[in-house]
Amino acid sequence: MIERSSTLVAPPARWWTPLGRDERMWLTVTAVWALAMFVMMQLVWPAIGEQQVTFQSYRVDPLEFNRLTEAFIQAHQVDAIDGVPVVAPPPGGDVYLMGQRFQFKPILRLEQGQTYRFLVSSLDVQHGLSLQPDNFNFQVLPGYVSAISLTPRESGVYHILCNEYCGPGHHRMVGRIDVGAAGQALSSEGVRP
Amino acid sequence: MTALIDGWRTCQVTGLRVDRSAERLIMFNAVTAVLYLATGGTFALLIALTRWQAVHLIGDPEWFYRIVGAHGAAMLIFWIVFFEVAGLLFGGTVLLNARLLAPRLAWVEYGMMLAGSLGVMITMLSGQATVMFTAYPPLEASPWFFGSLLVFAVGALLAVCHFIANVVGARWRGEVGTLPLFSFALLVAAILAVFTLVSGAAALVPAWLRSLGVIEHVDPAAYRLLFWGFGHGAQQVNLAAMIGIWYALASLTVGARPINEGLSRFAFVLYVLFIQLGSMHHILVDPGLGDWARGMNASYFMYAAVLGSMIHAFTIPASIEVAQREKGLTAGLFGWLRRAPWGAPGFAALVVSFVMFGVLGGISGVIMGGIQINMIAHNTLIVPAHFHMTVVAGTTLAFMGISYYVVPLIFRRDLFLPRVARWQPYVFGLGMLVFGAGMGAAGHLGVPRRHFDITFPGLALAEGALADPLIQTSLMVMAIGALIAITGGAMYVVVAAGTVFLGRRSDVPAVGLVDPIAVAPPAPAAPHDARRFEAPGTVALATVWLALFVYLYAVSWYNLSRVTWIIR
Amino acid sequence: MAVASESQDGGASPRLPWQQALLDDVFLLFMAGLVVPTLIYIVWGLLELSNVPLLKP
Ligand SMILES: [Cu+2]
Repeated sequence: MIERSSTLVAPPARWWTPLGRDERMWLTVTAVWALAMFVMMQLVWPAIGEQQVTFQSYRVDPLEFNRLTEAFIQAHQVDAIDGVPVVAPPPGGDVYLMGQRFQFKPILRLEQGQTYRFLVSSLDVQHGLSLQPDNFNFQVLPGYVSAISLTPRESGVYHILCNEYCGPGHHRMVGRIDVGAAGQALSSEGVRP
Repeated sequence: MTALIDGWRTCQVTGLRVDRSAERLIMFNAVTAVLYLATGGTFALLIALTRWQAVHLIGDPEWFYRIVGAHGAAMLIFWIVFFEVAGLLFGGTVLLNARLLAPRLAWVEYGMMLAGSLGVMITMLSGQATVMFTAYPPLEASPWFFGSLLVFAVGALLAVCHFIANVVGARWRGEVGTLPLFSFALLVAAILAVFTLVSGAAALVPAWLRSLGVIEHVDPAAYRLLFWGFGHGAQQVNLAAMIGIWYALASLTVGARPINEGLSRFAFVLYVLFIQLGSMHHILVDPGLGDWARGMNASYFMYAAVLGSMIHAFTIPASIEVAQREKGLTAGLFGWLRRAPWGAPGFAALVVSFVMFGVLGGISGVIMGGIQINMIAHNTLIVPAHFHMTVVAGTTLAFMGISYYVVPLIFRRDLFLPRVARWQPYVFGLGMLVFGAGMGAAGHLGVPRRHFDITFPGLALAEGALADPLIQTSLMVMAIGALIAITGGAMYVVVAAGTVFLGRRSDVPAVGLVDPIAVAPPAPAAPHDARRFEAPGTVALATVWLALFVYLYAVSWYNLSRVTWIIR
Repeated sequence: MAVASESQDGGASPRLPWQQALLDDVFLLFMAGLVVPTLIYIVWGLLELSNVPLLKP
């Protein structure tokens, strides 16, 4: 005879008892579901998905990263908006994107269908890279570089919002990426055919 | 007439023996907790009315960010931890008929927690630590802020260890054998709290030293790893405490007895082993961590801790169903549920908390804690939408529900305005439901959390960002939900504070429903046909819940696949 | 309510299932709760962070 007890009193002396039909059924079903979710995340999506988090990470001195970003801007700058440089990197190349209070530098002009290796870091504090309207998000840490391969499949204007609190001007920290149609010159000498 | 012998009294309602020194500490911790809840709730009102863009109440971003930080600290840390310490004192002494090991030490713990928490609130509100409660380095904050937080954390750690020592001591002296399941849940919460607070100290001590100028650099990635061992771990403490309270409320209100004691305990042990790995959810899109370190942790070791939660999600309603059926409420699949005591605030709080946590908070957390899906959730309003469903709709409401019992019994006063208490869980739950729907929708559309103004006035570069008109509607829904929920929260504060200060004094205070089985010794289960389900209604409900889980999981992968950029 | 505690830890009563003894071991539970997350979350995490290579442009 199985004894049961209120949760507020000590259980019977022998409280380890075999599972009933209800619990056996539920435990089996949920264990299968738990395993299925794990397999989906670690094995299935890495094989079939187009949005992965397998980006490379590096360490960097923030000042060194600043220097690399400035060199990148100098090499490929085509314009400026509100004092923020606009850069059109060669298709398929490396892109430096730096967060600092309270801007993302530079503004980028990319070409649809091309793959760019984004090297993302911060000069000062932590920031958040939130690309809209697609809404995908990465954390940006000073001293660390996230090297993310990104391919825009559709042309258009994209915004980068900072979504990690970084100080009193946090809500004014916005960057931009303009993606031009495939094969079309981006009205700049920075783009090679 | 209360029997008073040598620092003990015997509770006339439950027959429990109460150590008077523990009793006073429970009172102070509980009242402090409710004061922080009222403070944090006021801040919540200001924040909701600011993020509702049409109102945009707070005009100064500096003040907005101060209040967001103070809201997080008051609610996520102080309300919760003071209440939990009150709970640990109750579960470690009263429920075990045991004496408080060292009352003086317990007052020192309370003093440290109070002083530390006040220091944190003062530095945050006076602008010396406008860094959110996360204080990610290298953001600058006053050493008094980090120092205060550390004093609070050490006080809390001592309180937790005091509880564990109480339990272990009572067992060594042979005063208790196996703990009651509710006390066992509190023990699990306490064990989780030890890891949590140690990890927090490992993050905060270097940050404090840096603010003093003793060291120059704190690695931001390592800080985030350790901080979230604390920040997320603290919420796992809540989880274990809340589930313990669900079991307790089920016993109190309908006389529920777990259908398999061993299985429920095993589920708690899965928490002890694996739930803390979920801290990884905060750093999934950070640089520095490999896929398997992220995946094994994010999945709580192949979803072992989620399995624990799914066990509780089944055994709690099943034990309620079996108890109701044993009372003769056997009509159909759901007769036991229809005839449940819906008017008892303890039961209402249990059901609303259980459903909101299980359906909204739990499922959303598991899904967005996937390493890839997290990319479309990280730092958007989806994150606070999720944890308001767990910590507020779930934990906070469960704490409210149990305090409708504990506050009258400890203060020996009648529950104040019981009719308000009867409606409170429903008002609060409805508000949180509307709030969560609005906030979740806004986050889904890309709205960032902790953000002063998503209309970016005068900022040419931002033109066209977050322009979907649905966003403004979602934020309005969120704010309206917040107003309803804050009304429900205020109803609770009125009842709790009213009971403490205005309730009629009585040795047999009027509390909610107490089923006699709740305090009766173990007894044989009613016989049932082993070829049939014992709790068929629960089997049906749980199956529907799991189907919803599978559906939402699939939808989330679909949403991720709709991102037009290829990301590698 | 009186907590019946006598002879719950074995002694005179018939041998308890090992699963019950295991789940009832407070000290074991406490150690497991500290060691498992420390190893899998903190140690593994810090190890990965310490192995991040320097950026070579
Ligand atoms: Cu920023």
